[in-house]
Amino acid sequence: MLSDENLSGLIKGVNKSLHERTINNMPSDLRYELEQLIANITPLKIISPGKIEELSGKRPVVAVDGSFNMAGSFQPYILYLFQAYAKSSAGDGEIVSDIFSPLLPEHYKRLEKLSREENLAGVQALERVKNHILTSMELQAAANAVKKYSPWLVLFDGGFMRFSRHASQEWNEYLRLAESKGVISAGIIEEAESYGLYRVLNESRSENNTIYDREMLFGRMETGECLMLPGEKQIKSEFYTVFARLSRYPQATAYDFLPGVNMETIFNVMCFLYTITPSGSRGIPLILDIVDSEVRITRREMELLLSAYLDTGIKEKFFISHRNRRDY
Amino acid sequence: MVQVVGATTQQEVWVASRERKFIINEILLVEDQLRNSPRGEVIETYSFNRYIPLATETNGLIDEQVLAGLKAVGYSVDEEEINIAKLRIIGEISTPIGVGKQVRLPDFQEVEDLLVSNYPDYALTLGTIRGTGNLLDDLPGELSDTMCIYEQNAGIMPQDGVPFIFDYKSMNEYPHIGIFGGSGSGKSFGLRVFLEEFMKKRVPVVVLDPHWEMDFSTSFKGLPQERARDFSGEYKLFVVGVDVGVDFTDLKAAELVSLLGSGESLSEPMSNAVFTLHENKDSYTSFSSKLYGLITVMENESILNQDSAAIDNPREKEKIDYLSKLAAKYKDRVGHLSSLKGIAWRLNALEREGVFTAGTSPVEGAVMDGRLSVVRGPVKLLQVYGAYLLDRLYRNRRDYQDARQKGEPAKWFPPFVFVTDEAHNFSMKGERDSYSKRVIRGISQEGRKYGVILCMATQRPALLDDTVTAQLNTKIIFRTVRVTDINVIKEETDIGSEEARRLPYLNSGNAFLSSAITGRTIPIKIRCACTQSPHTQNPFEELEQVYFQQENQFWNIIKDKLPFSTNALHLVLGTISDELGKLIDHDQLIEQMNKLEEDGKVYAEKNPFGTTFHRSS
Repeated sequence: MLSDENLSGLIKGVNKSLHERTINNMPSDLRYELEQLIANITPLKIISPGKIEELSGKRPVVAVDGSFNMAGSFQPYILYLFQAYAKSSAGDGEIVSDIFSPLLPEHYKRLEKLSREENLAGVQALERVKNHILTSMELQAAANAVKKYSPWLVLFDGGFMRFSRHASQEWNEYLRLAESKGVISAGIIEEAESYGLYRVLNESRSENNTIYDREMLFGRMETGECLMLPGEKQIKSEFYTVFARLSRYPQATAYDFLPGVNMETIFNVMCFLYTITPSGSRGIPLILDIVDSEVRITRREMELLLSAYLDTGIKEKFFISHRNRRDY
Repeated sequence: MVQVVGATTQQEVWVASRERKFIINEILLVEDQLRNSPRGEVIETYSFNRYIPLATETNGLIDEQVLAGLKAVGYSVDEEEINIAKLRIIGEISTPIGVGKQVRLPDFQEVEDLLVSNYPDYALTLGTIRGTGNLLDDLPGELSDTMCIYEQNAGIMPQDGVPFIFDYKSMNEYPHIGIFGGSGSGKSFGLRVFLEEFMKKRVPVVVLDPHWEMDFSTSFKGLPQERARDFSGEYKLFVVGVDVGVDFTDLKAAELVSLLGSGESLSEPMSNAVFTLHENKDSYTSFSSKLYGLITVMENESILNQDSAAIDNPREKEKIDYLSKLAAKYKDRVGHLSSLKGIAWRLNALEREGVFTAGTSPVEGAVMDGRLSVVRGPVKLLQVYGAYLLDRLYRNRRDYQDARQKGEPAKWFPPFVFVTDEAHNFSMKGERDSYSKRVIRGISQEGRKYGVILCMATQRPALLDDTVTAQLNTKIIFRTVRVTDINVIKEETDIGSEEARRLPYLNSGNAFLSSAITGRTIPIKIRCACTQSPHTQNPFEELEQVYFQQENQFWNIIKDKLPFSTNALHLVLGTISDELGKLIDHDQLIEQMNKLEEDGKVYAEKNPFGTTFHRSS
């Protein structure tokens, strides 16, 4: 690595700027203001197995996650592998898998149609298709699991916004199914990208510098505390979002619920999630981490799959980027 | 489902299963038709749960409530376990096993050739083969329900696997047995089982028993009636110096030197003197009169200066003549007077122990009858005597065989097995050439020819003479803790590093048997013996028992005499002493009464005239 003093100087500059951002934009007693203006921060409770059975009616919990891998480097020499898994706490689970490659004629046509109709560049169209496949597959797996296991609760890895944005039709179908089966759905957002809290807090202020919710809540909540916004102060229009710190790690995570779920149910679900989150972890309920690790295809596993089922000539010709042949 | 996973070699593979825990030493069959479905032995086992990792700086421990919470919705994280085992392929295949092949438990018929080489009626049933529990139901009648097993914590249990049957007749080709293991490892127990089995097969055995534990008259405590066996008439106990001893006339000078050096080795001048004085066919009397005669002469040389013609008494005259001859023959060659005195002193000690009063014929008779002879005596003496005895028995057998070969008539002497514990004392590595070492070495190298088998038990295989160790074709290795011993075992057997690592942790009675007869190392559990050593009581428990009895006796005597006062002790002391059978004085009695008060059996009432002891109500 070349070491340039200029680079280190620039990084120091970022450090300074971020310090200033925190000092200037964060109210000195943010917690107090949050409580006053928005909501009470309430402590969650670890609940007993008996209480959990009472809440769930002895129905299982389903956790849903998806993964995608990419072979190749640039369009159209790309092969996407998708996999979605809805794991039931009571048994196995539902797996859905798919692939996408612009090299295949029918996939290429789909891309072309999209970019023509929406006037999108090729890369954008590919991104759109990829997001659609992944989210719709997750929803498919979730729907299959709902039908098969009649769960009490379905946990998604990620917020609901992804689904309504990238696969709105499938999402609406899922919502209907979930409602008819009386299933509670929750989306766990590891990296809260929302900035609703700041907006709510600063209605009266003039600054227009955006501070994200995760920044605001970092280190402001105690372990096991939960921030439930009153109805009129919702940060998202379609969903109800709760913030909570479920482990000793100081970052709060966000939880999307569907509108219409009553506050008591949400609180109970949050207590359940708190119970199944290891206190020394990064703050994600254990079952989601397990689904995540099961559905993920590692780089090495993907290479094994490709080597096993693609002829070497085909693989080398289409899907190995020249960069990967570097010696150093 | 069990599957071959990871990288494989033609010798070892990893197998994994989600549902099944692997059992160490069990035999599994890999369904790989290309390689004739080889079988393998589980030599290492692991289980892990990737969701319950070791706590590290990045991974916290998973709290109990998380597991309980998930269990409440039906998900047992703790069952997400993956079991892995390392399988060592038995036999040779030329290409690696196919990855992904299915693995399953074999039927008994599919592994019979690996496990059973003979049947109990024809060979020694020593115990069970570990890891074969799942084959129990498949066993044919003659192999099932053949023995009991003794577990340290659980006591006597039914047979728990395929019997390990030692084909002792193959020792004709691969002779000699080594039994290695530290104290408490089950080595003596294993030896006992061996001896019982030899008795059942009527193989003549001579066993040296320095610990006085090889008695077969006490049935193993708690053993079911149908398993018990009466060995009386099949073994004989001999005590050196009482029942058996040395035929002095048969002794060679070297043997005599060894015998005299049984306590402490003879000094150079002393052994020189023995070699000078001793002649073939010397009797005890002839040898000792030479010795004492020379001592008399050397103490008082003037004796010889008398003119023998002037002595009237013919006996006295004869004596002087004898002494003169002795002096002429030996005086200048036997060295110093003190050496002779040392020899005389030692000879005397042996004679006092009765070593020269009896011969070896009782043992020879037992061997001829196909019995087990247990030879007992003080450790040091037994070591020398044992070598002498073994040498003699071996010579009998050799003379018979050699004569037969030459077509000469000879008296039959049977082949036999010689067994000793603490074998390293007999044949110590590196030490200069001792009598016992010469004997053992000779038999270890040549015994096969004559059908004489050694069974050497020791807790220090590292100290055993290399030549001997190398000749032990069967080695049974119990728990061994010392690194030097483990290293010797690794060098001298085909025990792998996985097994060697387990050696320090083997339970009592579990062992590895490495033998040219079985071809591979077999993990075994020694069966429950039919008999037990007569003195297995814990000495500390014995103490407790004796004290308890003494206190009880005292209490029973005293309780009817209560109350009595310390100023009137003389009234009761006499009767108490009488009843106790021993004299007890004033202070001792008070001491005992205070003890009873502590125990709450009596209470003491203090008054101006002393203390009165009352019985507690």
